[in-house]
Amino acid sequence: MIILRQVSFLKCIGSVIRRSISTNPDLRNPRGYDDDGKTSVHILNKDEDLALMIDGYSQVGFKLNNRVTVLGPMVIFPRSVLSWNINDINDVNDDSLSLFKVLVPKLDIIVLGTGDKVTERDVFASFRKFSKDHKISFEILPTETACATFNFLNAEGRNVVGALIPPQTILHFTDDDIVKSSLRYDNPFVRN
Amino acid sequence: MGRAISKIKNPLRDFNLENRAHKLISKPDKQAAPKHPKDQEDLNRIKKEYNASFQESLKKNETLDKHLKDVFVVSHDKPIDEFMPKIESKRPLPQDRSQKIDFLFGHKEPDNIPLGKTTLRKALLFISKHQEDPKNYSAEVIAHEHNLPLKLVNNILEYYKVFQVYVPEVQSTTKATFAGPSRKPAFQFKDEPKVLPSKFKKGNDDT
Repeated sequence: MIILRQVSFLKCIGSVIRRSISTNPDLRNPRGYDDDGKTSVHILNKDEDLALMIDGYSQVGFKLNNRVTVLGPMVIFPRSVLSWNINDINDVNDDSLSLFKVLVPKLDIIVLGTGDKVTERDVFASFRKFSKDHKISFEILPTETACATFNFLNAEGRNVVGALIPPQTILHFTDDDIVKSSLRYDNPFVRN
Repeated sequence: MGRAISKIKNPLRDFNLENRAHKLISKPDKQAAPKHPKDQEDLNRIKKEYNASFQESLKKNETLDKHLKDVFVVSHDKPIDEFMPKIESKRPLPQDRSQKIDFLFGHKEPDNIPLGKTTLRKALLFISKHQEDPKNYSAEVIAHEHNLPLKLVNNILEYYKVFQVYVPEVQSTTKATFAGPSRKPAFQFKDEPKVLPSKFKKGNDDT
């Protein structure tokens, strides 16, 4: 029993030694980031040449990166924006999506921001038919995530349209957002 | 190593070097550097053998000087576009290599629009025109002009509106702009409650 242990111990030592004197450079240098430590951040929204993007959202509307605050639901194209005359996600149907089916060139994707998160799947049943009939794909998300998705797709230069309804409850926010909002309500015309 | 040896040999060579150099340069009468002994010997020999020619070479020759002043260079080059031969390929390769500016709506608008379709530019135009003048530029007119079904045009005009832009009056301290849907704004009348009227909701097709 003791001998057996010793053998296994020796085996173990051997494998440790073999591993430590391996000539493979990948084992010696851990993979990953091995640059000089200088990185740069590029904020898409601040690049005004890139496209129209969404900076922020609230219960009443959206803030765009061209210093425009939009009130109510909106339909945002890569470089233009329209008001969408609906109340909530229940009003989204074939009729209220009618503009998207007549546009040429065909839209790549519709990013539909549902406002608050919708748990009932029945609401989306009609979109499936619309998507199949007109061969336009949908990305259905709560508005809070739909804004960022739209921004990324737009920055990639896709023919994307964002159909966004302002959310009634805002789930993800920071203390900074609260302070900035209160400052903005004190003086609504100053851009923070 | 050579540098170290030269430092030892003449330690004061680089002492106050820049000042000394400036002083020498700014002297009004500069002395020419001495010639190599072989060159000096040659020069002396020429002076002695061809003395007349040497003396003449020191004088200024008026005619030659005038010839030099009369020289005037004119270029008759063609512009490079005309000069370069045009590439004529029968294969369908791209010929235009100029840089393209971005499209206004982020995509190229098609030359031929299929029946029953429209472009974003045209749609934005007829929506805004209709909002300005709904009586004269009605849905029927738009449907006829753009070859679209009347029901579809009615839907588009009902659900999509162009924004009315509100710019704050005090311009000096602000940079913000507000865009609100340009339906009949209920909030402009002070006595009315700030709710959207129900007639603008879905299901009212005859607007």
